[in-house]
Order: sequence, then C-alpha cells, then structure tokens
Amino acid sequence: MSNQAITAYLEDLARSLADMDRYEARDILTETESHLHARAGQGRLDETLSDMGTPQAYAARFRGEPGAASPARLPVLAASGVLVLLAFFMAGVAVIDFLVPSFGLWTNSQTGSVVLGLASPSPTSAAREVWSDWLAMASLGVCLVFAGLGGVLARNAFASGDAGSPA
Amino acid sequence: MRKGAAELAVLSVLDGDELYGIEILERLSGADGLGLSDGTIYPLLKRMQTEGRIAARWEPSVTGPPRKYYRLTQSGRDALAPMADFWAQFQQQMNTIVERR
Repeated sequence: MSNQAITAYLEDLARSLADMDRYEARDILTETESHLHARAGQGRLDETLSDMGTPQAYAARFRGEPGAASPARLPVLAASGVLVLLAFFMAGVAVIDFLVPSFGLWTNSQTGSVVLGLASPSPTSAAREVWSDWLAMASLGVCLVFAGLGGVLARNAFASGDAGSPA
Repeated sequence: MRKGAAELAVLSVLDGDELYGIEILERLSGADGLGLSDGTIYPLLKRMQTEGRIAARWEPSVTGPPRKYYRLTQSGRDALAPMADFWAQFQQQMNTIVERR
C-alpha cells in the first residue's frame, strides 16, 4: 500500500516537473522517492504526504512559485482573486456607463424592479435611471477599493510562510 | 525574516557535518517557527544549492534509494559567520526592547 501511494505520488510529481530541466527533475524525483521510502519505514508516510501537499503544489515550490508553499494561503488567494474579478467587473460597468448613455441602473416604481443594463424607456414609462451621473464614478471608486483589497490580501499571502518559497 | 532564519538554521546544522534531508530536519526538530518541514526543506535546499551556499552528492543506500548528502561550500561558510553575528545582535536588541515593557 505504501509503495503504491509513493509510486502514484512520484508519477504525478514527474508530470508536474515535465517542463523543468530533465536532470533537475530527475534529481528532485530521486530525492523525493528516497525521502518517502524513509518516512514510510518510520510509519510516517501519510503525515509526510499531507505535509508535502499535492504533487503540483510540491513541484511549484521548487520553481519558487508563490502561493504554493502553504495550503493555508489558498483561501486568502481565492478571496484575493474574487476581489480582483469584482474590480474588473466594476471597471467594466464604469467604462460601459461612460460610453453608452442608455446603460445604467434603472428602477421601475410600478414593478419595483431594479435592473443594471440598457434601457430606452418612453416618456410615460415609470422606469427611471438612478445615479445617472455618478454610476461611472462610483463604479470606478468601488473598482479601486476591490483592486486595493485584493492586492493587499495577495501580498500578505505571499509574504507569509516564505521559508517554502525559495524565490 | 523567517526565510533568512531558516537559511541560517540550515547553514548552522551543516557547519562541520554532511547530512541528508531527514537528518537536517531531525537536527531542526523543535524549531517549528522556522516553517521547515518535509514539504519545504528540499525546495529551500535546492535554492541554497543554486546560490552556491551548499553542495550535494549522492550516496547509495543499502536500505533503499540513494540519499543526497548536503555540505557547506566555502561561500556558505563565509555567509554563516556574518549571518550568525547579525542574528545574535538582533536577538539581543529584541530582548532589550521586550524586557523594557
């Protein structure tokens, strides 16, 4: 069972190191194999594999890729990614609102609906655009806030646990 | 700072000794704050090897796959003394600050 787990891990690791120099990759694989067999002999294979993380994450550590050193960083990096995506979305809203006059945040007092998009209401319609002059500026402001928060989170994630980030 | 401390710790345990990965980890056992473990020691050793502070050689093992033994290079020995001095000064300064509380 131990040998199977070691073989499977090494096969995945070899695939993850495929883009690395051939001799360097073989060096890492041989040393990892030696380490895992020694830990298996001590009855500590599961604990060791858990500490090493996925073969992909372990391979990334040899390239000095930030974010791969600690699994604890992943939620922070995910949150950072979401904030950056939201920042892009708000930037998009700002640009479209600036370029397309009929784009905006529309409300309809009769139906109670609120819509972000294009609309060309007739003069008798109950639809009204809100924040017409400020939507682009507000979106840009929110975009900058999201981008800033995302950047701070990413920087903190990369700064922590740096012993495993040999870059 | 932790990266520098981890590197200093590895240079210190290799000073005068040739060790393989698990032996290095055993020498560092109890120093959890360094962040060195089975999953992080080899990337750090590889970086230090690339930087020329340590060198390595493979040794066949009778019990399994070959082992890679690490030792200090002259560059590593040259780096160790000033790093250790800096650390001693830093520790003394921090102790003084903390004791003033």
